[in-house]
Amino acid sequence: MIYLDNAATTYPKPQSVRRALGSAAMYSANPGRSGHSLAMKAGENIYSCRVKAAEMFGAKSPENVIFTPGCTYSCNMVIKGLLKSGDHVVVSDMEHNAVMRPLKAMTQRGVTYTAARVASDNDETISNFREALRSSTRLVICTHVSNVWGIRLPVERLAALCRQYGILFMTDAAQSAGVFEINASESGFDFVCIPAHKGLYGTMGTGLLIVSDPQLLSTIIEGGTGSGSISLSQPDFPPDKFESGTPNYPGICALSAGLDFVKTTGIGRIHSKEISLLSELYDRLSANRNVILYTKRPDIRSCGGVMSFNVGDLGSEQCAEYLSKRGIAVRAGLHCAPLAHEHFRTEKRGAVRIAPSYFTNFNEIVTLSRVIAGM
Amino acid sequence: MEQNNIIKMRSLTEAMRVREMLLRKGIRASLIRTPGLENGCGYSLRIGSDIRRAREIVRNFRTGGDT
Repeated sequence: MIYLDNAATTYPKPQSVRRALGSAAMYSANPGRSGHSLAMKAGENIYSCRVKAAEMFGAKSPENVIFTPGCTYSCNMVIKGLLKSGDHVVVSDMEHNAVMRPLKAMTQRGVTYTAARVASDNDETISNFREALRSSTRLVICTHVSNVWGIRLPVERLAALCRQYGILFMTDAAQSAGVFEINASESGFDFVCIPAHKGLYGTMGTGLLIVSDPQLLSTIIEGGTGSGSISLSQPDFPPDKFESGTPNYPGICALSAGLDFVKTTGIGRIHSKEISLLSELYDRLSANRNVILYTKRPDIRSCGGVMSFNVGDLGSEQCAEYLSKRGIAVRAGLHCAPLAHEHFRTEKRGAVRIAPSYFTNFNEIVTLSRVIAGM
Repeated sequence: MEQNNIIKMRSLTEAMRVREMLLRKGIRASLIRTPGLENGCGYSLRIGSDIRRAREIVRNFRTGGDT
């Protein structure tokens, strides 16, 4: 199979990640609950991953790194843990449903939001966000890289804008973690939501929330933390405040190995390879009159490792099925991002999304372009 | 409440962080389960030597003075 659905989850995983996962599944105890050697070792491994994540994403300290069940959960923790009735939020018109659905749910509790249009020019995008701000704006949310179009949004500049107005800023780094350098402290990101299983090459069911000031968030789930257990009140200090219940220990071990892989390989090298493959594909598809491209040729400064297109009058799912029957895995449809499709007016037919990983090779891209040419 | 050469930690994460920090300052500490259940379950550090200095470092850390 030619696997080009890495925006959904990366495959294959590095051997080191598979080994870490297997090892954790075989030799593990519940971390942070007991004092025997197996439990202490598990606790050390969790802490080690936390330290690695803090370093990679510029968290103030390991305690500012929260393990979550996934990026969607991280988004929910911020949106539901921060916002109150009367708060206003500005989002981009490229957001994934991981942001839009909890935000929509919060409108039932008196929260309002405005979607600011992403323009081809970053200055215009910033201006659109500025115009959307109100006196009641509490939070700005912007995806770092569109999961449909691969467009990189000017999140650092947006964070700076928010600082000027005393507004909090959250970025959804689902498609950028492991592809672009992210430093939460330097960039002034108050919240960064990250999945373990895409650009960090970990496994599904794990994510991260990098939070600048944990006191900003109320909890959305409480439970056992292995700390201060005489009290029926949830701990008020991180990370325990936000990590109730048994952690996904195998997932965190896999994430730890994934972080090592990304660090050793080099974020720049990974991104460069993905852009190189997408540029090659873009050039080949551009020569095909039946192919509809919606964005400009991918470049390393302004694009992540994602690109979408359509073919003739075919529905996107038809196209994906055609490819699947020929051993090529892609994702079609709306990609859980209806706003992003409305932006390019593809909400009725969707689009076919291509997302290589560091393990994708040139020949696979050539084969894909030839199969599309044969449609 | 600190007893003898044991300093109670709020969490396992804090215990590991403080242990690292103490080691950087030349004080060895080992991670143990907190004796007694006054605050329920938890973790503590058993300090190898210079407990007073260790307590001062931990106090400073908790007030944001040293990371």
